[in-house]
Amino acid sequence: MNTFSVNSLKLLDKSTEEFINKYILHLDFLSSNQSAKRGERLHGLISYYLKGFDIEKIKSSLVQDEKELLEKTLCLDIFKQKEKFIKSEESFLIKCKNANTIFYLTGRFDAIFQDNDKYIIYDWKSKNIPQNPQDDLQSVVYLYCASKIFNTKNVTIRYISLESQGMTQAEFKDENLYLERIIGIIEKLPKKYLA
Amino acid sequence: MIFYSTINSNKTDILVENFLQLVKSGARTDEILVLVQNGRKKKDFVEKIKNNSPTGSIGNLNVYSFFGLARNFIEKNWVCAEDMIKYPNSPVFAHLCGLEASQYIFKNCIKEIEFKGYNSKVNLLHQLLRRYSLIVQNSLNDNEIKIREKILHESYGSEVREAIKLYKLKTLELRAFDYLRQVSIFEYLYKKVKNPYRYVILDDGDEITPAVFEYLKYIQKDVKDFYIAQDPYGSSRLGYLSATHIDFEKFLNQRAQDLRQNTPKIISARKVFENIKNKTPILSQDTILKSFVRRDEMIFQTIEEIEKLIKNGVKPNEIAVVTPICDRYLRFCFNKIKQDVFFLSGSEKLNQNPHVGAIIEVLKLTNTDECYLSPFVLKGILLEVLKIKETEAIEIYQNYAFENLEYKKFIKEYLQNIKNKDIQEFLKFLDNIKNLPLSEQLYEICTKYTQKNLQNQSAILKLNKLAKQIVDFEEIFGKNFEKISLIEQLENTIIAENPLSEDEIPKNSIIVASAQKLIDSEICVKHLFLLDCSNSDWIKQDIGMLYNSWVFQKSWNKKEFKPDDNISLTLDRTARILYKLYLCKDEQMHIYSSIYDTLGLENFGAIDKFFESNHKSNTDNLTKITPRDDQKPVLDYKSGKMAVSAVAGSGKTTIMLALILKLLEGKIIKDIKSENIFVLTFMDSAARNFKERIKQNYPDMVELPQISTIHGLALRILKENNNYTFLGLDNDFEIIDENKRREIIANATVGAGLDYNKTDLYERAISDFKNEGTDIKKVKSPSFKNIFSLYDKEMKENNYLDYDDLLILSSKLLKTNPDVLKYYQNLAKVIIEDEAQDSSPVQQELINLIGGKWGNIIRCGDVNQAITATFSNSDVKGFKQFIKENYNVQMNKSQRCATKIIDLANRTIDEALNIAPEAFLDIKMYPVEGKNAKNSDAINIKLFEKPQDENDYIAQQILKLQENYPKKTIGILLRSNWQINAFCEFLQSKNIKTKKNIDTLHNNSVYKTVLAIFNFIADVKNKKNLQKCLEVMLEIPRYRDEKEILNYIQNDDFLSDNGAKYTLWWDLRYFLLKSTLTPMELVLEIGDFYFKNTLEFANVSMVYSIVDKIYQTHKTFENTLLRMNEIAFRINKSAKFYTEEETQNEGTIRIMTLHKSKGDEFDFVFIPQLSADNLGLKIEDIKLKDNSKFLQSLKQKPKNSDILKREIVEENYRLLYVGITRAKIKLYLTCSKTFKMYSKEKAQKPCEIFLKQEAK
Repeated sequence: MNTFSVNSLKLLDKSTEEFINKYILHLDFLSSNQSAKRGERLHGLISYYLKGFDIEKIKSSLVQDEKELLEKTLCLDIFKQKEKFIKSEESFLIKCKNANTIFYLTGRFDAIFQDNDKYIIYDWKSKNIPQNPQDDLQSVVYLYCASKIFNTKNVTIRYISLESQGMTQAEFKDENLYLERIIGIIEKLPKKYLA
Repeated sequence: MIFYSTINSNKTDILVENFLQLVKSGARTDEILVLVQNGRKKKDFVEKIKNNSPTGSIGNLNVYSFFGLARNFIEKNWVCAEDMIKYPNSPVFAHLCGLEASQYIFKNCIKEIEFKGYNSKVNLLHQLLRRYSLIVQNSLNDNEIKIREKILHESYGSEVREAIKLYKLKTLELRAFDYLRQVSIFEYLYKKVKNPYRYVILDDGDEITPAVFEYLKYIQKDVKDFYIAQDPYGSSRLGYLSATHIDFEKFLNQRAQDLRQNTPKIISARKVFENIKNKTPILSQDTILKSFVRRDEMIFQTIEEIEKLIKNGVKPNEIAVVTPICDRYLRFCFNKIKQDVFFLSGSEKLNQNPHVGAIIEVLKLTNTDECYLSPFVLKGILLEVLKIKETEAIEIYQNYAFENLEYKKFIKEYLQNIKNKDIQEFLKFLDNIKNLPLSEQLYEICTKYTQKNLQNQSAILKLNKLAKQIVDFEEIFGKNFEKISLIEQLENTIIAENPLSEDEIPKNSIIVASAQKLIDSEICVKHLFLLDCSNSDWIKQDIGMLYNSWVFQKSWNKKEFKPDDNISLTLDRTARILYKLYLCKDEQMHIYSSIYDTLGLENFGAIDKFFESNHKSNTDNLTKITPRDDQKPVLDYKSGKMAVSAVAGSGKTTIMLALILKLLEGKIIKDIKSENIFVLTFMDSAARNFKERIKQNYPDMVELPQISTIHGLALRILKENNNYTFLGLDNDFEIIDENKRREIIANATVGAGLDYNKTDLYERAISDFKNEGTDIKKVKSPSFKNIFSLYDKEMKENNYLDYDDLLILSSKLLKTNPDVLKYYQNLAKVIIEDEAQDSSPVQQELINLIGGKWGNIIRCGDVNQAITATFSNSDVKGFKQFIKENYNVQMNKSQRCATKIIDLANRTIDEALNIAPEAFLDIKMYPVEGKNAKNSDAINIKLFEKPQDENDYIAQQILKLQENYPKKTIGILLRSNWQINAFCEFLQSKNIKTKKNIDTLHNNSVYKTVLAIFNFIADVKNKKNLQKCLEVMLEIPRYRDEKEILNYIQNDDFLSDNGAKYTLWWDLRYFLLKSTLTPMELVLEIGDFYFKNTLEFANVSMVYSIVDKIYQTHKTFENTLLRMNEIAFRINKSAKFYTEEETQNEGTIRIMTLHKSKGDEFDFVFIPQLSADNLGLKIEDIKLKDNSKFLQSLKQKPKNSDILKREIVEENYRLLYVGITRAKIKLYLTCSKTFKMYSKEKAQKPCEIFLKQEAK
């Protein structure tokens, strides 16, 4: 185990035991979560839309409230092409090194836009958006990774609530602080699991 | 760039290097497509990129397996595919599901289509899926399919097309796509979406499928550079797995670089490849060849060898074992090694893991209220899931078993009354989750009851797989499926079939794998053991009724498909697999094979044929036989047809063995190999005997001559080279044994409203009818028609064949397929038939067909000992004719019998000439000078007034003989099986110990012990049952001193701790608790515990196979046990147990039927109860059985009762002759003038011999 995502880091931060159960013993038994499914659907459709696909047919099959949410979301400014759309659903893989440990960060950006020299990472949230985005672990990981991918410190992450269309955001601050925090969490994992 | 390189070289590193170079020179990672053969290699490739990349962003990797490519493409671009689907309810994502869900859909599609005349309903789905797989992976269009239907003369073409079409529509409607269906969606989709790739890196280019290659062709114009690794000798996945040879040099119009080095490994692998293709035997320094008689010997030898290697410092991960038969037996044996063993193969089912099995049972319980549960399963739940204390668990389930005996009780109702907090909580829990969706139920059960630790990881991974499948179903069907039937389908999921689910290989284990898995995982070890090399499973069956993996290749361009095509293509693929296997070993290759498989059936030979042993036999060891004058002509045989008429005791077996050995030495027919010698015996035991004796003479001989019964030969002809397909047979056909056949006929008989007792009759009638080959319409008897059609239906639906079918079909195959016939005719340079007097017409026909080219046919036997004609299909006339028409050697000297006995035997022949002239050929027996006993009291013919007198006389004589000659053997020969039991009881009452020669399963110690312990486990509460089980167990030497346990159980509950002073108590309790495993695993546990001797352990594997077979149809432990009890005392026709050669025969008394005694000899022989009823020697003494007329009516030329009676008299004479000639020193023929029936004495007529004696 040497590759971490935001979700796995969050769990490791919360409880080492739960992390081991889920990511090492695979004790997940796929508990299905209806609201997560709904979030996945909306994510999927937004991504199709951003890529320029015609989503009318699928949209018409959605249940009413999901359809309304999607329409409301698509009315947001970001979809009006003020910023330059770069990519959606983009996976990343970052190699990190600290003293003797090598580890990897992985994940997927919901959407990436560019406003002049600034890269903006969008993250759609089907439930709550972080109230303190600067401190949120996701911001830490995403801003760190985005700065590596685009080779710039001019990066922002924006959280959009699909329910309320509200938004919070965080700007890139300090690479070392970010890395320290990530490493701090990874160190909670007993060495024998860290390959 | 194309380069040639092999597996287990640095080719992947080179490709990774290329990848990193591309990125370094400015290519974006998302422009580079990397394709590898499977998921494991994908992981490996990604890891290598990760390790070799500098820190920072690595990018967005597109590394896919051939199947993963399609999946990923659909995930990214689903919306485009959705646009073309006309069905409503567009989902945001497609359901990219496992095979289970799509099989469920396919199953329902087939229901709507009638496959007329298609014989195997079990396999239909499987066959269709295979065909579909071939169509997809070869991207065949409708026209290409129709051409192939024509080539194969398929009669079901349109039905198959319709079924697949329906399936495609249905999956489209549900948007449910398994990995195959994904490929076909992908094919449509990539033409609609802009290609994002500018570079393609292809590892394993030799294993690419046409579907993936079509994609590469399609995007070629946009691709700047290709990097392809290919092995020109590779493509081990040819055939069903659809790899295809691509000429990449032509495709890219550039020359390949050859990176292969001439290392010894590569040179040796290439030599293997070429030798197989050229049919030259492989003789190689790095290959050790060993052949064993039994499979267990082979397995144990392997384990011993492995342990030796490890002792010498070889690491476990430097050893791998490859076999196509990774069954429970093999797993069990390998798990006894002290090292970790990882099984990377096989068709393990989900419920094979005891914890997963128990969880599945809980899931079933959740969803049914009123259900019964097998008490055995209940125990599994109590111990495995609820972790109830052992003693309490036993108590609870034993009580349930006990209550179930009286009347069936619903399990939940029963548990409600148990005062145990865990059980009550469990019931409440089940009630609480009852209304949840299945996936959530499983989640709750697992979360609550699955132990969370690494030891349990394999169960956890399997439960995750189960969860994934359930989620698939819920996503696809919503609530539209029956929970219980889904669980039942899923519990039988074969894990390995899904190419996307692969477990990680642990680093320090010995690997046991299938060939393809080892190759696919590029495992390289120092020592590689290939096991079961003589088993035909090594050479995969790539043709079935509805699919032909060769013709359905994209590249197939011939107008015809011939048996030879199949043989040569299969050979080519096998050469490639072995080539790659040789690339998986650095030091030694061990090629091991065995003559018999686990069931004791012979292996026909497979890849062992490619190898040659470098140790030549030392000819000094060869058995030296000095023939007598009358035997000599047999060994002087040169060629052509020869009959050998051998009287009883003339040393026929020895001479035949000598003849075979002389043939093997090449001294008779030039250039003869062992495969050119065909020997047919009447009994399996005789075939075994020949083989073992040849093996003693040639310990290193890998391929023995074809020595078998006619059924063994017929099975080989049907199975070898997939020949059965030319009969329109499906490859899953199963040969049923006599027990199974009887079960089906009994069901049909009762089903037709007849009495169960008629089963015997219909067993015979159906066999007769089949062998006659008459049209069923011409049969008059409505009940026969009815029963036969029920039987026939059951057989067809399950794709069963009985022994008659085996013979009839193989002869039909040879007669209708000249290519197949030619193959065997070329092979069979000489055919030797033993017991030719018992040969059936079909057998004689087969011999003539196969011997048609070389004409070297030797038939041995004694027409005067033909004793099976009246109740089997044997036909003594054929052999008589053969003797008349051909060179006939008379082996008429015998040193067995005392001269007086020889006189009696010869006199019997003379007397019969007057009454039944056809009974004998006038071949008299002569003594060997100076060898035979000359005692004057050799013959004792005695007639008594009462049966008691007769019995007492015999007992008295036996006691006297035993006293005077304690080392001599005694045989008591009776007319029928029921007489044996009665006579045994009588002798027992006189304290005379006998060996019964009734071949029942219960006579085998392994079966007996297993059955006793099973019965014990099933019902500990029942004292009678307990007593019976304990009595059997007490026969085992280690418990000899514990007879008191029988008293203990009379007064005490067995389970109370008071039993703890007996080891037997502890051992039984151990098995009681062990039994959370399946019955089959329990058999292995019991076997391992009690049967240390290898011969006995070989029988364990047979009992295991018997139980496995029964469990498959009877499903629960209890029903399996019921059936095991049922067949225990019937004549055993299902297993061919290994027996110790009777070395300690001295002083034994054996009781058997006259028929069974053939081939045996005893110092003293008693033939009691020789009444005219039992052995009529005059026409007027013969009473035909009621049903003989009915049996005749099924024949094309029915015999009238006069002829039938005459034939019986003839055979009775021969039976008497056989009985007489068993005796070496003394013979006692006895009878009484009355017999007892229901305590009344009735007069009976003694057999003719006594009347003559009296007259004298």
